[in-house]
Order: sequence, then structure tokens, then C-alpha cells
Amino acid sequence: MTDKSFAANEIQLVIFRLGREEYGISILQVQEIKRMTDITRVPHTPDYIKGVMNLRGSVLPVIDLRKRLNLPVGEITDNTRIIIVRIEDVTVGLIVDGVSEVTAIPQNSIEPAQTFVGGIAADYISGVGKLDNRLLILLNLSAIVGTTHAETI
Amino acid sequence: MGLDAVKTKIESLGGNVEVETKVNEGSKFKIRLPLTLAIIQALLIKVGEEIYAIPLGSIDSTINVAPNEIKTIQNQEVILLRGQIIPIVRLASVLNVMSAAPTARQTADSSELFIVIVHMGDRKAGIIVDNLIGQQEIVIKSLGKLLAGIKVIAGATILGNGQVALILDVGSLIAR
Repeated sequence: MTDKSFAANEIQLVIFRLGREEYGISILQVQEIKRMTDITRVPHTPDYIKGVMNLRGSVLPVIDLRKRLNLPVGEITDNTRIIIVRIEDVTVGLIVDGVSEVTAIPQNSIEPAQTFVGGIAADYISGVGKLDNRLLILLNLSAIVGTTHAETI
Repeated sequence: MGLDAVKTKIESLGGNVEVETKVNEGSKFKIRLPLTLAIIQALLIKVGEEIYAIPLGSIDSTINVAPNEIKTIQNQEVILLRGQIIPIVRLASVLNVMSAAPTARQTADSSELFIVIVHMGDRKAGIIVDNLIGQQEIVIKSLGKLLAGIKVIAGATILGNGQVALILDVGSLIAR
């Protein structure tokens, strides 16, 4: 990424971990990555909403991505990060177990999700990217954040 | 419908609407709005380990009562304050706060409870809180689109230490 310019048929991804799985979201949706900070719980919200945080004076909702994807509850470690993403005009934080890198993968190495996953989680996955031996789960952020189908509490 | 939208919006801004109607004469609408919308005076209170802000404009007083002064009328807890019956709201249960050490608190509190008396229009309620922190000017921030429309929470503010505290919506607490 440092010296070669990336081709038009590649997409750049921010890669992060949740448990043993690796996930990717388009770098264009990522605003910044923060360390874990104080999060204020908000009553009467779905349980995947961890609460709200203070990002330089503005109040942002924070989603516990593990809860959102029905993964077992994880511990907060030194590697835990909050990825601040912007989807349509909503800015939210996503709690992940760790952010590893930014990488580019060719568009044609991405398989659509429908071919191998079923169930609820399939809505949240837009595809799986293959990078050497690794499988990167690409997330459909607007479904995760709930901007597409307005979820009521 | 239209009038209800006005009432909801004005109450969300910390104001209230009063209506007086005389048959064959007409109606008088009184709309009260706070002077500044962005900065308000608030009382910070503690429930469990969580800090909440109550707009000072809707607070009548804060009182200490012994637990046995709380009576019930058809299972609704009330207190008698200067001859007036005031319904009680237990904030910890409304906000689903996990009390860190309920037993320790109960023994410590068996002497006295903190109650904040609030009003909205003509209606009053007593809110039971765990602790009073103090009065402070706070800047109102929106919770954003994603968390809009939560009952009992009117917004958020950022405290001196950077922590986010939620602002209670007195109107919807009373209406419960």
C-alpha cells in the first residue's frame, strides 16, 4: 500500500478481529479507530447498543459488534478498539476485539454471502473475501447499524 | 394530532403548553420555552453507579424522607408532602439500573431516601434517586438519529471529566 497505487478493481478494507474470525469493512466508511473509552449505558435500547461515548465533544452511540452478530460475549482487552464508522448520515462506534491492518483485495476474490450462509446473520454479511489463505467476512454495515430497516425498541 | 406534535416537541425542548378553554369564547394557549436551548441548569443525580441530569427548571425541591413515609394507593407509591399527594417514581427500576450493592444500600438508606420533586405543567412526581451530586450548567447534546425516541431520556451532556451523562425527560417520567 505504501508504494504501489491500488487498481480500480480493488477495494481497501480495514481488517479487524472478533474471536477467531477476521472481518473487513470498506475503508471509505471508517472515520477513525479509537481505544476503548468510558461508555455510558442508555436505558431502553436493544442489548447490542452498548451505550454512548464522547468523541471530542459529540455524543455517539456504540454498538457491541459481538452481541449484534450473536457471537459469545468477549472480554475487553488492551487490543479492544472502537471503529468509528459513518453510514448514510449516522456515525456510530463499533466495538471489536482488535484491528490488524488495512489491506486491498481484488473485487473478483469476493464471494457473495448467499451461497454459503443462512439464518439471520446472513443479512449482516455482504460477502466473503479471500486473501491468500485468509477468509475475510465483509459486513453490511447499514443492516448492522439498522439504518436500512428502522428497528423499533 | 397536530396539537400533540406541538406539545411533544415543546416538551422535548424543556417547555410546556397550557390550554384554557371557555365555551363559546375560545381557547388560550400558553407556550413556555426555556430562554436558551443549548445550555441549561441541571441537577446531577446518581442512580447506582450511573449519573443522570434533571433540568433544574422542572425541579420543585429535593427532600429526604424515611422509607415508612412512602404509602401506597392501589399499589402506586405516593408521599404526602405539605398536604399534597405526590406519586413516586423509582428511577432505578424505570431505568433498569443494576444496583451494585442493593443490600448495602438498603441498610444505609433505611434511615433516609433522597427524593427529587419535579413538575411538568400541573402534575408533580417524586423521583427516588440514590444520591444528589449537585447543580451544574450543562450543554444539551442530541443522542443522534439512531437513539432518537427513547422514552425518559431527553438528551445527553458531557461532564467535566469527559464522561457522558444522560438528561432525563421529566415529562415522560411523570406520565408513566
